[in-house]
Amino acid sequence: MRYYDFVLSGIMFSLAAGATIGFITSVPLNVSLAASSLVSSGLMYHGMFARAPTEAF
Amino acid sequence: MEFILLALGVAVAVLVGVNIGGSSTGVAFGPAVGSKVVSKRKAAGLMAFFALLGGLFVGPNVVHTMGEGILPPQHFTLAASIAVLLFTGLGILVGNILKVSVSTSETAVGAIIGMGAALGVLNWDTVGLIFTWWIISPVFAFWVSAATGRYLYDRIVKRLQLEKGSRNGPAKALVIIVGCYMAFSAGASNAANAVAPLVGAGSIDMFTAVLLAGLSIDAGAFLLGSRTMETVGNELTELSIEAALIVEIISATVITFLSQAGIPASLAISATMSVIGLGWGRATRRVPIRREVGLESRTEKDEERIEEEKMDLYSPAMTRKVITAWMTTPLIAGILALVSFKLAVILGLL
Repeated sequence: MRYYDFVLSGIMFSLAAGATIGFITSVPLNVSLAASSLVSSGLMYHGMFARAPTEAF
Repeated sequence: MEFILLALGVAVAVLVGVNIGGSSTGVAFGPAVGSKVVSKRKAAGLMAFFALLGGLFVGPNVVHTMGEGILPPQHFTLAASIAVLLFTGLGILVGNILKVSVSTSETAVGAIIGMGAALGVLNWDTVGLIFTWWIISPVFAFWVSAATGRYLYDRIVKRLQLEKGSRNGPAKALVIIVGCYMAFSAGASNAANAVAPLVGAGSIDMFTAVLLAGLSIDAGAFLLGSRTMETVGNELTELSIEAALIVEIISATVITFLSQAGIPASLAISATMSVIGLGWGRATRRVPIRREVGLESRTEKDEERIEEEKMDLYSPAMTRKVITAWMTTPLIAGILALVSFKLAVILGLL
């Protein structure tokens, strides 16, 4: 596992957690998914901008 | 007077539809035409057929949301519908002039929300639902594409063997089928952008509306499609054919699913997000290679490989620009509509 594997699995884990919470608890699916995609966006931001896979890195 | 307004409304709807048809033909069949698998004429024909199919069978779900879900349909008077359609058309026009790919769905939804806010009749449940999916779907498109780029891309390329000379029948068929799938999803999600306000106004019934939208999109495919299919600015035409296929399959699936659920969502945005994700995923594979092979120990072969892999897979600056454009477009459309409708209310026009 390298850095980018962590980013990708983190996004997947977050979205899956959002879907699971939406399905099994009383939290509406839309709300839980929206919250989890905000977490995913944070991870995406880090992977895309903070440690972008470019020449300089 | 009523008839003139209706004729005007239909005319504006057709105009919006034609523009949508022109731009989505480039997205759907750019790669197929660019790789010389089909001629432009045939591509336009396939585009017309499958976009119409998508509009007729899945389109009504989105029309329903946009025409009746965001605000109570009785507020869509004919004049208001025409205004919303004009804002949508204006948004696309400005985007074309500034050469940024503007999402028609985002602009149309932005205009309707602006109108609803001005009249104070917004249905926040629907608005919240749409925004939620606008956040989730690009994240999802990015993730699937990025994972494909990082873990599967090289294997897929090897498997497909699409490079020139060895292009085989099944691979050709795949390129065409994926183009048709993309055309279907474009029709499904975009039909509403041209006619939803008119349906909300009760001016035309659902079937006539989606048929009108579908046929306008078809006219756009034939009239403007040949130009958009070879636009260099199209992100998809700059990709290898394998990458374009992956991007199209992922984005068409996301959009067909959302349209079926009645969520207006942008094909251009999921496609672009998918392009970015795939490029990013492939780029992440290259980074370790470069770092592992230190400067001193690089052989000529390593240098060659590194040079080859330099091709612009991912650019943070470009990505930042694209994301900013998406966030501002619906906002601008919404604010413009809000201000205009507020003025109309103050002047006693509505």
